Amino acid sequence: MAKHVITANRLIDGLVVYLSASGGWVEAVSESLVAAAEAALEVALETGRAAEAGNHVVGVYEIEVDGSGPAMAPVSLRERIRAFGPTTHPEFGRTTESGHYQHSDGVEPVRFGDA
Amino acid sequence: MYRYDEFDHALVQDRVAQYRDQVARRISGELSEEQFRPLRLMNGLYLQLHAYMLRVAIPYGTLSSKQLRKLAHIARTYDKGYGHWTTRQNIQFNWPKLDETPDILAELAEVEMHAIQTSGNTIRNVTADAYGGVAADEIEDPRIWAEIIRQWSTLHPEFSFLPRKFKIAVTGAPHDRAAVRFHDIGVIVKRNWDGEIGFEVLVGGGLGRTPMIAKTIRQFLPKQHLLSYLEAILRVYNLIGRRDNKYKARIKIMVHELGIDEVGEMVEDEWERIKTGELELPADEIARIRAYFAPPEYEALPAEDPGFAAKRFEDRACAQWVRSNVNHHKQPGYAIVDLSVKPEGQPPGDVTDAQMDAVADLAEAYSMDELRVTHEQNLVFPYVKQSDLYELWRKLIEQGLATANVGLVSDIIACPGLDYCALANARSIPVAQRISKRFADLDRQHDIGELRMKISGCINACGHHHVGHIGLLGVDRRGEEYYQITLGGAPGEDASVGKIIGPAFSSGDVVDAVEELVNVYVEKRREGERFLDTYRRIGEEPFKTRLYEERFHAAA
Amino acid sequence: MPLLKQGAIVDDPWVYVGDDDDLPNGGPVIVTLKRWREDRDALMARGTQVGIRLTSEQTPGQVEDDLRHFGVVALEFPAFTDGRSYSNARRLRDRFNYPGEVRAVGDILRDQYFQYHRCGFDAIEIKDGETAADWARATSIITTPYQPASDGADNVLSLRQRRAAAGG
Repeated sequence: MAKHVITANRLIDGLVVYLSASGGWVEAVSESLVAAAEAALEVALETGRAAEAGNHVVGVYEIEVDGSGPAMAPVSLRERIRAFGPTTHPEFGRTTESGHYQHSDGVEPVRFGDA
Repeated sequence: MYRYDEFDHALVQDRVAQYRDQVARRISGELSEEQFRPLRLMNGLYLQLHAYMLRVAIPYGTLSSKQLRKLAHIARTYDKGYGHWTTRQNIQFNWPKLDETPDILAELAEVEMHAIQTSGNTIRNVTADAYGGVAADEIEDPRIWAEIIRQWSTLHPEFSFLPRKFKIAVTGAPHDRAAVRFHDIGVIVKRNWDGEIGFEVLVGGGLGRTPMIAKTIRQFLPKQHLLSYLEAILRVYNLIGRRDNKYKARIKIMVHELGIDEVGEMVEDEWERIKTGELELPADEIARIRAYFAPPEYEALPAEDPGFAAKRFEDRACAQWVRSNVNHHKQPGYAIVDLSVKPEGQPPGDVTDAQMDAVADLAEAYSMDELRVTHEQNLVFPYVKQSDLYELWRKLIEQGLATANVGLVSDIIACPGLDYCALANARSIPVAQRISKRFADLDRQHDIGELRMKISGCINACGHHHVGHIGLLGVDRRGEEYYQITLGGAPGEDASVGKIIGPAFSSGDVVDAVEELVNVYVEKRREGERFLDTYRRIGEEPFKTRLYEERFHAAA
Repeated sequence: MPLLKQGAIVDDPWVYVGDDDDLPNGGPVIVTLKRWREDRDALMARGTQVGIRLTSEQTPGQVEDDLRHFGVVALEFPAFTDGRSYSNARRLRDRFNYPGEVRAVGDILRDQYFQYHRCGFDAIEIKDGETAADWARATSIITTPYQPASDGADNVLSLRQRRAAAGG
């Protein structure tokens, strides 16, 4: 099975978070708990749903990821944008160790004030 | 502009208190997300990809400098220092925290603003011609009627759970700058043979999955009956609009399935029973609201300011700006100035807190303290003296808001797309940025002339792609972003829905494809023809042939 | 289910009778439209009050001629997001001038109190375990609404008229 992690949005500020190995929620996808087997994914999802029922997070689901350690990143474009921020405003994105990813189509992020 | 009286103030403050209680109950766990979602949506709070998003209403697009400064303050204090003008005269903040949203609303209430019904299956923020009150071709300021509709629709107890969202737009001029034919209800101010003010009422227009042009349900509605007639339409829709399928729940589907005649009969039947009731508008209430929109104290000025005429002659860049961004005013010696929020290569409609503060200062100095937000995601200074134009232009350049591209190919409407929106399939803004860079040469843009370019990141069509002369719709093809091109859409009085020209283009090819379409137009156009005119004259074949046979053979 | 009327939980004498249930010997009953149509004569002959429960697909117009026989018209909210019963309540009050009890039943939330009340509902079946105090917090939320509705309450439009008439 491909590697998966559990994601949601935090209730209080809405920010994207990932389930960590300790059962808490972290903002960096690279620090999330990775499930590489069906059974482990099921357990992780259950933990996530419990947190949703406890009103800590909203909208729990699993996503596929690639790579490992600081280079770990979601596979889909949507989830990469969730993980790293809008591609149009890098300065408003997430400040993770992995930094901002480069777009495959060569779009260069533009900053305010650039002419 | 309209000012709240004690009743308006009390109502908005009551609503803030109610919402504060709802948020507290959500945070305490008393309300589940499922229960809370419709409550927060009724106050414009979404949960998007990255965070909550708060959509604040700018009723009929009118703002004072004070209000704009408050928006800047909110962007700075509660968000990441910027906001986004939408295609429906709202502003969106992309990063508010749930527990701070009641404070934001309380701050907005201080300046007579709110986020009531900017989402949900409710009557949404009523929009109007951004040139209301100053357009040379206007019969009457549409904002008088938009304000009357705003009050009637705000917290209307019967219509808070409609089958689907409901959008009303008003124009006071025959030239439609409010896209009234693509709203659930479009209201056009008219005069009858006796010279009395009333309305043509249209119903069943919309974009989204099934674009439709609204049909006239009443040729002339006397003004005192505006609210009872709208209430009759809404009641009929609330009762028989489809609720079995979200995609068929808009009133346009009801009108399409039953026919305008049958819907018209049902509405008339309902209206006959309520038209002489409490909703019949008292003349003095109309007069009271109208007084707020009375023309400001204009100075008596010559029709053409000689000083500015000379400056224009000397400064080519200024002349170019005037050509695209300055419009005729009904008052001699004044001008309507469009501020382009589409600088080269920037996200359409995004403004920083510093820009908002600067614009507020400029509006105070040059536009009688008032500005407008357009559905094309730009700003308007409605009351600029021609003699101030040159100075204002210089100051707008400093703020990056004087790009001479309004109505041109780089004045792109784009929804937030996959960069922000939980519903999107593809990104919109980066494509807009690349097109903007491709056509960066302003001389070339002016040579191309009026070209309405509109981009949506999904079929919900918030970027109005159906009514773009060239429209792009983002689709997800096996995880890759593709863009379907439509041609020939138009939002105004010559409304038409764009037609899909062929298979979608990859993100890498789409900007080249757009440029080829423009090239075909430039080659085929006749004197004085806009892109849309040429397309309507020669049809889609030459465009299609160029794209699919000559240029992108492999893509077809 | 507790019945809320005028801010208090009150005894509910009405009994719902299913389409296949036997009619009780006495006491007021609420029946469906189907049962009413099938058993109209038997229900009228009982000599006690009858009420009707309409789904959001049904309309008071379907029983317009019978409305005078009903002590209660219960209008369903199958989900609180289905707003048809608001319009049906308004037609009951404003078009048919129905004077009896109009009861909100189904998926009822106190955040909608304002809507129920303004559209002409005067009785609400609240959730088991909810109290009048819970609902009291909702009742005063909007002091003065903008538009006229079916509660006869002061509204901004009418108050401004009064103010203008008083020369204020």
